[in-house]
Amino acid sequence: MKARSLALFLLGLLLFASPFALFFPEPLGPWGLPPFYLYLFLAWAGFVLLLFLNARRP
Amino acid sequence: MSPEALLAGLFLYLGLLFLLARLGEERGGRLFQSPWTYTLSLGVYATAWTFFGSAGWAATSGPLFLTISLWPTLALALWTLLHLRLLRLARAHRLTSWADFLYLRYGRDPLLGAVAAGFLVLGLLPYLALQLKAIAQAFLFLSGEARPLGDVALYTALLLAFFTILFGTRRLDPTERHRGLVLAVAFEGGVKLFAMLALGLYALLGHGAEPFREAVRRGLDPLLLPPQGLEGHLAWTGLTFLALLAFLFLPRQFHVAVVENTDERHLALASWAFPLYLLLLNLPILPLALLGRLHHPEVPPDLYVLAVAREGGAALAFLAFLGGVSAATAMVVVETLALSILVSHHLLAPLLLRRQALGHLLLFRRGTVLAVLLLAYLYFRLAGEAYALVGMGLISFVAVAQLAPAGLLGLFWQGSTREGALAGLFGGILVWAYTLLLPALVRSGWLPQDLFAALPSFLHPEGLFGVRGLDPVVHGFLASLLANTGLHLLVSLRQPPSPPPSGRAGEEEALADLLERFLGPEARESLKAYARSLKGPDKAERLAERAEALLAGALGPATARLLLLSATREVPREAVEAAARESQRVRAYAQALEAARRELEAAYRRLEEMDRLKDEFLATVSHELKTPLTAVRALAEILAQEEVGEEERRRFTALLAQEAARLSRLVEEILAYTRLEARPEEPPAPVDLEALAREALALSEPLARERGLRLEARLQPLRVRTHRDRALQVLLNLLANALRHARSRVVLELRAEAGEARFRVVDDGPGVPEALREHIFAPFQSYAGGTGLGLAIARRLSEALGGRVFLEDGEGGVFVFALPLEGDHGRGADRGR
Repeated sequence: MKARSLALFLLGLLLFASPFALFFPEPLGPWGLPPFYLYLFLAWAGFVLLLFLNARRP
Repeated sequence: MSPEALLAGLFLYLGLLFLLARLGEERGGRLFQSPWTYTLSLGVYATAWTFFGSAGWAATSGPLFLTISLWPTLALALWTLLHLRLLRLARAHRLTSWADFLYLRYGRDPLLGAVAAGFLVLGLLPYLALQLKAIAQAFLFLSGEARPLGDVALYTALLLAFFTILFGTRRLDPTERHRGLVLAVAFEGGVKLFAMLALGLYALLGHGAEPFREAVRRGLDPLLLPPQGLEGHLAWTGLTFLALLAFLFLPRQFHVAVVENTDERHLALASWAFPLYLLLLNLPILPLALLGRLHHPEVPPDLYVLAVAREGGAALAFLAFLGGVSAATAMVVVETLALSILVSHHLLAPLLLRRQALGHLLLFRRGTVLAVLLLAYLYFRLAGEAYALVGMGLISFVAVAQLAPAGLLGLFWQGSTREGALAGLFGGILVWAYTLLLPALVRSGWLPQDLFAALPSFLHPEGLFGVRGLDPVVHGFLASLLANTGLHLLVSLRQPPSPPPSGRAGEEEALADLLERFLGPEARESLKAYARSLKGPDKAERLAERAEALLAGALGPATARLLLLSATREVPREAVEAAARESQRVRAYAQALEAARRELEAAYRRLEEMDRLKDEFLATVSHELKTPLTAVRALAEILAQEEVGEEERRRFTALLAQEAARLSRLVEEILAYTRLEARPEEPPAPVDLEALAREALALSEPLARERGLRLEARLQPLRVRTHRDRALQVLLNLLANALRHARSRVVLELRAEAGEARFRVVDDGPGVPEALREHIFAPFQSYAGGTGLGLAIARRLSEALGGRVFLEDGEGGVFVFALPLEGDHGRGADRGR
């Protein structure tokens, strides 16, 4: 539990605190949406899913 | 929309909130206990800043707005670790805020608690002011009125103060839980999410991905790109870190997450549902921001959400307005409440304690709520116009973050000391005021604009050490936190490495003292023994539980809790005393009730006994009346016979008169007896016992004659002081009894024996069998066809006269009636001779 939570936190750091400017140079991407925001919200949703699984497992 | 309609809708909504809070107070049990309510109430984190301000921020600075919601998500990953620990700590020590924790952790230093509380109030004023500004701005924008912003904000502040006072400070509750308030806040959390999603849906259906393409066409593509360069990256990470700390240390967040938590299992749901909540809330913001900037460039960015909503019609605009109002009111109410608790624990209570006025604590707490909101209003008037919503909020976030070094280091580092915490806090506050508050006042025109012009460049408040290009908030945050943490570590490390005053050991000692004071030394020993048997991380909590249980057993749970509070930190002693008084009154009342019950029971028993006595008395009375009546009848019958001689007739007539007189005396006596037992009876008089015996014999003569029995007398002349009629009654009863059992004769003797005048009534009957000797004096125990009262009455009367009646061994029945010669009776007898 403890180790899992910590691992999740570190994963979150990686997902949400990287130097994004290096990865997303274009303002528009698939479906005319900004890729940076697309990535952030998808990563966010995935992270919530992991939190959900983490909370479910004792 | 017309201002009237808007106002009516607003009041309707607020009325609904009042109703809901009221419902929650009264019977919101199940709803209140639900983990969903808990999760939604955490949504108090998203304020008008998120609802209105984020879009404005997004429209000017791009993705930075997301940092504020993103990092609480990360914090929730650690929640199961950090928050559970915090929750348990708070349970064990009854913490209601971080200031409580600091106070407890750093040797119960009232200064630390007071500084933290005072600074939090000051630091959060901009944040509160921004909510007032948001509501007022939104109202004026939608109603199309051109009134000064300040007026609406003032009314808003007063209304919210009223709501907070009504549902947050109804009473002094040691748990500081407010069911109704939480329910209302959770409801508002639902409303703002619903409103935001409805707005998002409108934007999506109405415009699709068009706003993004349009923005790029108009050269707004920096808004869609990640933060650029080192400054951008620093701003992004700095702000996320700031948001993380704010989420942990905001008083209202601590309040809903820790204090109002009813079940730690709720954390499991909240740990993923709350990030989801924030995600959904942030999803529509960028499209709304772009739409606002593209379609309504004339409107201030903070109003983009409303401006876009107005495109969708009055209903959508009103929904957006309600969402913003929900976000703002929930934040203001909970934050003000948390601040008022903070202030009353760390500033007011110690002050009032010294002034002996703690009884008014609740009043002062209400006053605090009003004062805080009025101060927020004042700040809004002073500096509110110059800043966007987000700018004001961030200043507060940085202020709140100053608690973090002391809080987190205190939690995880044994070496941090009180002096370190104080130095860090003061340093952080100073830097915060210099780098953020001062420029804010300058910018709003309250201080001269050229204030900083004369300063050397390395002292510039928005660019210490010549730093340039950094966002002022991020700069202030990093500088103040650096100063804070640095001072904390430096001062702590310079001190001798003595272990910090361990909260746990201190706690144990305080609890033991408390128990000894109220329950005696045994309780202290018992707690100490229990403490020695405890191991593990929740030792303190279990110890506190045990102490509370012990106290609750003796003093009632409320008092116990308050006493425990008083032992663990500086809380309203007066409240403790009031509760103690209260429970004392309750106890006294219960004792009085119990006494009354016992009294009633005793009275009932007395009544029962008296009822029995009354029955007995009635039987006695009838018997006593019957004996002289029998005599009268017998005498009358004798007189009616022809052959009675003249002399005998005279004797019998005299006897008859005498007997009738005795009868009437008896009746009088009975009447007197029944009328009032308390009436003093006639004093005893000297009585010639020999004459008395002769009278008794004469009265029994008819009965003896009827039965063909001889009556004999062997009498000594004796006089004692006694009641004549009662003594005569005893003799008559004994004689009647003897006559009933005798075969041929009954002898009445009278002589002085062993200091007593003893009448002996001897008959030549079968005597009293051994088995019956115990029973013959009990009432209604008749063995020869009598009423069974004669002997009982004889015994009782004799005892009332100070004498006794008993059965003597011998042939036949030998009953003795003894009257004392000594004392009054004896002297009376001597005098009589």
